[in-house]
Amino acid sequence: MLEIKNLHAVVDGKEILKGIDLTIRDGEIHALMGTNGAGKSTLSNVIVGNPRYEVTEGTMTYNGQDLLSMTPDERAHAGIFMSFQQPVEIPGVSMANFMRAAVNALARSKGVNAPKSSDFLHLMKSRRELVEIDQKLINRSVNEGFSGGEKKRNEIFQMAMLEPSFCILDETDSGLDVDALRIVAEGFNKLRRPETSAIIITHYQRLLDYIRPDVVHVLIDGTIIKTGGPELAGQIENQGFDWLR
Amino acid sequence: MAEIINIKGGEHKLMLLRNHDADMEIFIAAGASLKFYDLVNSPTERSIDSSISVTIHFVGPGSSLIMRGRMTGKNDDVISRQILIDHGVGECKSDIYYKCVLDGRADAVFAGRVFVAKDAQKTESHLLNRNLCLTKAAHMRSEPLLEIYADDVRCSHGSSIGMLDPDALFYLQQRGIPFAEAKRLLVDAFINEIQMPRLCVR
Ligand SMILES: Nc1ncnc2c1ncn2[C@@H]1O[C@H](COP(=O)(O)OP(=O)(O)OP(=O)(O)O)[C@@H](O)[C@H]1O
Ligand SMILES: [Mg+2]
Repeated sequence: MLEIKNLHAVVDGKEILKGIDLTIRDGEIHALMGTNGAGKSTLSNVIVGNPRYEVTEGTMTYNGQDLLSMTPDERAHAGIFMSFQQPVEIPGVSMANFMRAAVNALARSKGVNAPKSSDFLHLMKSRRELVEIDQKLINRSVNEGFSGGEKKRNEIFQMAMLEPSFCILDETDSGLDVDALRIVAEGFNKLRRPETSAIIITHYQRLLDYIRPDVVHVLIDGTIIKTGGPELAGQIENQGFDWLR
Repeated sequence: MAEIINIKGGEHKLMLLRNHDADMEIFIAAGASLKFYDLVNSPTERSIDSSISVTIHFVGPGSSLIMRGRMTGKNDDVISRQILIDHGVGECKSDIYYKCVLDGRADAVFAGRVFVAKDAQKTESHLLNRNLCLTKAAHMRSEPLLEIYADDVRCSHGSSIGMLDPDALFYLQQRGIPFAEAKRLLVDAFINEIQMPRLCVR
């Protein structure tokens, strides 16, 4: 369970999050919608511990562990994964080396042996097939020269490799074509275990047709101004945000 | 006194290790090609001073030079490279690429100058120096310079000094890779673009 209480955060001296309260129990899917610049990506980055964002007030725990006192890699090992809105390109670091380092670090954190080479390669192959990502992309440097949609698909490939228990999908749907969206969403659903929970950030209903949310939140100007059921997403897509303010 | 080396006919390789003598002058004769490798690998336990000045003269047409530098400095290391490529005659090619990673309080200078004489037509020369500073206390000075008096030449030069990309670092950490390892992956990605011949890597 993720529990956020009265969370305030600043970027470059400007307060972006102004008191967020959010509880997500195991197995729940929460959609997060809101205007551009409202603070959705900021909230995601704060949960995963991006040092660019400074938390000034509030608490945040995951399964009882104090996230604010954990490093980004420790949070990842606790099972938290973020699909970046804008995945970064890392020239010179191959996808294979990157995934090997990530899988080994996860194994170390659990106190188990790193998988054998053959098992690792098999895992890469099966997860690649699951999200139907081209081998050619996996042979390149991390995200280097990937199209917008390919980067998003690569995020879900990494998620499939690491099997997190808490997923944040920050506009993973934007940039994906119709078929890619279905493949990525079905991939997510296949990987989903009963205890897997997620925050799905989106501006559209489409992704939520595949990954049905239990709860929908509306974030505007750093605060959650409304929380409702799945029907709220459709209402927002049709009517915008004005009626909520 | 500078050490003098004459490169005549055929293909040659020259490797500089960090304690090689400080001052050298190389003459490349017509039709010869030289690959020049320059490796500085700072030891962890003590600081080094690696200051080298190299002047390379093209003295006959149809010859070529490839020069690669791979340098890592840390602690209080001092690294200095004064390189002069003298295209005194035409129809020769030079390609110089140095990369440097500085940690701790290391201090490095790369001064590379390509001189193309008035009659050295059809010269091709590319001079590039890229550097990565890992700390605020590390200091790099990069001075690539082209001095061209001929008109029918193809020359370029460039230089950059950067820090590790914090977004890349964070991306790796979000996937569970600890800070120190993430940093090492990025530094290796940077420096491994310059490959030394096997013999040279220690
Ligand atoms: N690194 C940063 N430096 C300066 N300002 C930032 C930074 N990151 C975010 N901001 C500012 O914080 C505010 C919230 O941005 P955020 O990215 O969280 O919005 P968002 O809700 O994800 O919007 P979108 O729907 O456009 O993705 C914006 O005004 C943005 O300009
Ligand atoms: Mg955003």
